[in-house]
Amino acid sequence: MAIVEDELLKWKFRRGSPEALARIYEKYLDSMLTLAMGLLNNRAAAEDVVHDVFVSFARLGPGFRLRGRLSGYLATSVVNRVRDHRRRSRRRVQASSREARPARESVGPDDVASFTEQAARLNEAVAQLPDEQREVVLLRLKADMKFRDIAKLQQTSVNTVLGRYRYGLNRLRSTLNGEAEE
Amino acid sequence: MKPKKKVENAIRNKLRFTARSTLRDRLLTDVMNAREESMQIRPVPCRPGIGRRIMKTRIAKVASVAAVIAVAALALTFWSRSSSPAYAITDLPAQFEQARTIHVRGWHYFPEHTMPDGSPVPPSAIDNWTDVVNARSRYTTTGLLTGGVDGTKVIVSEVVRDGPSWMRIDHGDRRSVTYFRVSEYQQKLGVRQISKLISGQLFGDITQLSDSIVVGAERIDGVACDIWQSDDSHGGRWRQWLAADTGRLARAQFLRKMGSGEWKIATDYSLIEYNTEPPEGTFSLEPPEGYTADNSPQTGYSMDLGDGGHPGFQDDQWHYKCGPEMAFALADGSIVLGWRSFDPKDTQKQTLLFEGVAFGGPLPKLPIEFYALKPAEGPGGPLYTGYHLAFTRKQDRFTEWGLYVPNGPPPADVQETGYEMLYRWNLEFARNFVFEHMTVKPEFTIETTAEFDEWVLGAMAELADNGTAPADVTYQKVIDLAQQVRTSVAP
Repeated sequence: MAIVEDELLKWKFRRGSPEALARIYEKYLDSMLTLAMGLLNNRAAAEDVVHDVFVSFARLGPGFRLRGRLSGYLATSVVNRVRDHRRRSRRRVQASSREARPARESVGPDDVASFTEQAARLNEAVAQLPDEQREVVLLRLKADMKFRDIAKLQQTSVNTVLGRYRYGLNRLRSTLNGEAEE
Repeated sequence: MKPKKKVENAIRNKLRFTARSTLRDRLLTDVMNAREESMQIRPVPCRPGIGRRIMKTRIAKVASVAAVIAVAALALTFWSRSSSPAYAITDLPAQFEQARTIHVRGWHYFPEHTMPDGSPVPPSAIDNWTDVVNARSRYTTTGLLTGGVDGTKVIVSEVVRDGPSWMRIDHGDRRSVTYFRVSEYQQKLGVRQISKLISGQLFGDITQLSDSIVVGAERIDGVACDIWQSDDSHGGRWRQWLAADTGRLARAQFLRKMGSGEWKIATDYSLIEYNTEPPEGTFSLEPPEGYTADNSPQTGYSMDLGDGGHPGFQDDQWHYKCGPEMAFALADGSIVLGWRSFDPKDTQKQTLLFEGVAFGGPLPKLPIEFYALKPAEGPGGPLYTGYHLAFTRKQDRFTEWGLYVPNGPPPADVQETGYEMLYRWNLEFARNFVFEHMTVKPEFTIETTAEFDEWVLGAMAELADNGTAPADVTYQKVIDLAQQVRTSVAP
């Protein structure tokens, strides 16, 4: 049903419907923010990423045509911008060791509404995964993307993506140490 | 449950962030502003003719014949009850093209949503004016937020356009106005687009008006009207009330099909007037009482061509953006497309990349090269290979103007569905970046030298520092080039 609604939203968005844009925004803001937070573990950066993704999307405007899934498109946009952010952060850290600071900043409990303690622990656990594994796990579980599409995004084979997913889950299981069983 | 499943479920269900209301509101304002900016330079796209689509398959052809017989029988039933209409529904677009002013008033509904307490979402009023002669307009746009931390919220904004200044009024929590500035070219373009925009809002795709059938009759303000109806393939239903004697449009509705199968009104334009004088102050650029101004008409944000957003990839060391600026179709099916692909931090490289390019030669090897176009819909179709016409430069931004010539007959509906821009990276290290393909729709078809000079050369001049188009580009030369290419690729 969600996919059917998305097809309708895509069609209306192409026709310039502001309602469709508002609905897409409302529908995907939290999930894209969650994805960006999971990938960056940095509230301010995640908000910037999501801001850029939606503003760029809005600018595509009438005439924009998307054959794939809307959620997949937005998630792909988030990932691309997160990669940009990571590259910038790494270079900043490399450029000045005195100013070196953790690439990831912790999330304050008051920073984001409805961000539970359990969500914070999960996010910290996800943040410990290598970038590629984190992307696969989050894109699969939070953006519902197919492994085939994730492989395309990561420019690798489906088998490699499946491997990264498996390794990621195993690592999360040991990091969470029973947390997931609550 | 297996441990792996538990981890999956935990991430899927428990790892969740909710945006704060401040972020939500700020972002929504920016998103709607960005949309509004993009709307200024692009017309509302039309749906492809459904007739053209269904005739592509044999089964659909048979089904369509049966449907035509059924529709004809239905139409005959109605027509036998009353006299034949003295107008054609396909004349409707002409009413708009000839109108000096258009006034549309009505309501926007939200049939798919309810408030948290289960009550209907209050409808939002629409009161749109267009003064075609003086290039002025006032449009309401409405959005709906549901499920956020603030509950359900109707977001309303208006855009007032008058000459070189446009004002966006945010009727949300901010209650503010923002000014934009547009060039003379954009004002002219806006006039050209305006009837298309309005007819898109009232009728959907005008090419499908001929698919409409009369489903009833009703009197509006004492005038007998026929009610015409057509369904689209996306769950939408369009209804128009036309005066039985003149064909004048008196009312229009757009309905949506609910999950239950019931049709509900989404938009109801209950008053439609042509050529009436707008009340004084309709196009006033003064902020409404109680509203703050983010800037002034003099300091308004520039809406120049070329200022639109582009997808991009950036880093401390490199930063690339690309995208279409403007496209026009030529009568022979070729496309003139202006596009950009640049590193905002490095104009020197751009200058070098444009060295040696020549009229009719290959496109410059910009970082991302839009080397060809193809029809955005449907399998196959011709490939439109790009050839360099000219480049323009404005404030260190280069625009490549290419002629894209098809290697076969273009599909009949390609002007409506648009073109996919085929791209390739000319940078080795950037080839692993992925972006969704882009599409472009020509503004309209250029058929004469005068139109070419006004619109194509006008756009080139608009995107040039000196305000003039390249001297060596003329309509005749471009048409000759297209013919030469077509001859060379003909089997």
